[in-house]
Amino acid sequence: MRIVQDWMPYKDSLLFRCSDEYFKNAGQEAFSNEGKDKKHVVPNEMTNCIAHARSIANFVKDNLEFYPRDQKIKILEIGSGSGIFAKHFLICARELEILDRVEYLVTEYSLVGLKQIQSNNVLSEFIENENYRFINLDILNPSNAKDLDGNPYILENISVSILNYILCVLTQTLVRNTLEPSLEELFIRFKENSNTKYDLDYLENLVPEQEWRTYKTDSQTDLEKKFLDILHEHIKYNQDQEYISYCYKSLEVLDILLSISNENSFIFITEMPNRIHAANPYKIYANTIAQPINDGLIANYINSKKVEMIRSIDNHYPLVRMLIFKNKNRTETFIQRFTQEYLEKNDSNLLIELRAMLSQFSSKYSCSIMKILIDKLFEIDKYSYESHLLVARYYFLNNEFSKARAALDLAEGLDHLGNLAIQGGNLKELLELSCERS
Amino acid sequence: MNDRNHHRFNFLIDSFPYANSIASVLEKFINNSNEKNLNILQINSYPGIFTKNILLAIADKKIDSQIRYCVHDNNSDALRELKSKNSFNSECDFMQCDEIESLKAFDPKVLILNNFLQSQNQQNLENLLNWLNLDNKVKMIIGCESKKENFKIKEDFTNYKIWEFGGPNLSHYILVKKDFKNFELSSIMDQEFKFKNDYEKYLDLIKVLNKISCPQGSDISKIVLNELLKLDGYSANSNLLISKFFKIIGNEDLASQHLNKARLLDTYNLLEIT
Repeated sequence: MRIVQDWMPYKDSLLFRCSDEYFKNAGQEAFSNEGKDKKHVVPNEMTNCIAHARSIANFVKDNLEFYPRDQKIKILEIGSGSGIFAKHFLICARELEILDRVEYLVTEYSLVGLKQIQSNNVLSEFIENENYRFINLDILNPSNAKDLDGNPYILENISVSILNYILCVLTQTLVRNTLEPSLEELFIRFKENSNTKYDLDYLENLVPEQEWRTYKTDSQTDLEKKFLDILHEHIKYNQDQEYISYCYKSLEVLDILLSISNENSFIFITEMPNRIHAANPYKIYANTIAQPINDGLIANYINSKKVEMIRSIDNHYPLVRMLIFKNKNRTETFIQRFTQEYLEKNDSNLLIELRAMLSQFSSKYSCSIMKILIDKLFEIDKYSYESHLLVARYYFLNNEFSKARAALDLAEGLDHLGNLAIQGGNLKELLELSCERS
Repeated sequence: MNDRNHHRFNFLIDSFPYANSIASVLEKFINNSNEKNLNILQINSYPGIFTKNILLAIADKKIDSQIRYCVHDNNSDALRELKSKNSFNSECDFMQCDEIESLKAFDPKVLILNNFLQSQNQQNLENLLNWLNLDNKVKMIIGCESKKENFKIKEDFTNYKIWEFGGPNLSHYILVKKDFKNFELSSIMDQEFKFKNDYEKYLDLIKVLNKISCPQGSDISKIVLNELLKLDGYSANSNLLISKFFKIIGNEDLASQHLNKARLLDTYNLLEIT
């Protein structure tokens, strides 16, 4: 075993460099199942599903009354990834008849990824520069925002910011309290076997070692020092935690978003929830890392900014949702909507569950009950390739091959990431065989 | 559990819907043949789950008074275990038999063979087939095989009219004695195994219900669960799934009741009940 990275603070480790590089170069591929194991796919089923988009679109619609009718509001999605969430949001805006009131900013710090969204026609049913706009953006450097032609784009007067699994990939420092007044931070080093290759398992195959060393606040970057007061305040009330994620870059992102947003704006964050006693502070998907978000620290930060936050932790599909808004008069409306979307019903959870249930059917004798589930699925989602693939399976099991073929064609048209090569491949072969026989 | 008989466990054959389909065939047999005392012999009954289910199904159909059911096993330990567990109707006959000849004493009219062909050595099989073919009074043989390569009915059962159907998971056959008049069973077999097939549906519903986990899906889960209970309201599996459903919707009392029931019914600890 050889050392590939000697002891260094967790925040400076190769984890973040590899992750950054992978996201930048892989583009949409990071989210595609094509030719990959599930562990190599950056999770996106929940955050890309139309039910999630519809919930946020409902918040947007509720909030439109605060803006003049003749004004389009700017919706900024940080890190649009595959562009599927953007597509689903715009579909929901059309359903809710608010499409003409929004300008959706599809942003990515991976220029490769952004261009793929355009070239793969993910948003082809909407009008570029009218319904949406592509922006190459590293949110930590908003002044460098550019459109696809390289022209600067000024981010201002933002009404809605949407972050799906964004904060979890940003650099954090992991600190823990000791008996002494000072804190300790996690240091990490990595070893690799002689046969380790730089493939999709590279990070997974590295062998980490960890140790805790004194956290020297004076020698940290200005950005890290910026939120230390908030960190200390947070630690006071979280003494029982084994370690604390000091997600200073996430706080900086929020600082930036609040500064470029108007007074009636809101920020919607969807993230991995904090796992207080988790043995490993991060998870790996291909060569990217994902860290649970310290929503408690974010709450401390929000309090310090005198803005409002509603948050919920969903234990079913582990998710923390945070709604941050400036206008205190909106509190009641937002709480009502939050309750309706995530407590009274939760179409996102239901959609994921219906997909899981429907994928279990394998017998023609169950088609009547499968049809009931398909109908329920379509009430929530009739736009995704996943839904149409399940319909194709239903028709196939029911020996309605031409309908199955038509549904599979529809699914293929909606599959922008090449996922069907794996998920629908088997069905396609079976269908071809059945058609030949019949 | 006796290792020798481990292969006898089969999720589908041991499901209530499968036994219920067989009971429907027996019901039609009784109605068509006016049999008042139908002797039914199940060859190799261990682990007894199918036996328990078919006796429940026969009682459901109110034909139990017309049936005498013999539980046989060629393994005396297995038969003793079946008796001691006493998980089915204690009034049915228990018959331990090492010699194929002694089966005749029961004078069976119907034979039930589940995965018999794949679990017997050639000599036993031939003995049984010779006996059946040459001098028996058996009117009907009903059976299934989970491995299709063992499905060689046509070659062996020459004195019988044969109906067979290869399903995705089980292959079924029914043989009716050629001299047994006025009885056509293929239609009920078609209905039970070809046009509808409750155990295949049951298998799907179990898999689907195992995926439920969020309270928001409770309306849908309830529909699926009710569908399952139409097929099987008795088993450990059904009770486990009912318990899971109640747990998800937050009714801990009912969840606990059904979990306990599942534990009681899970005679061979086949389910992972935690």
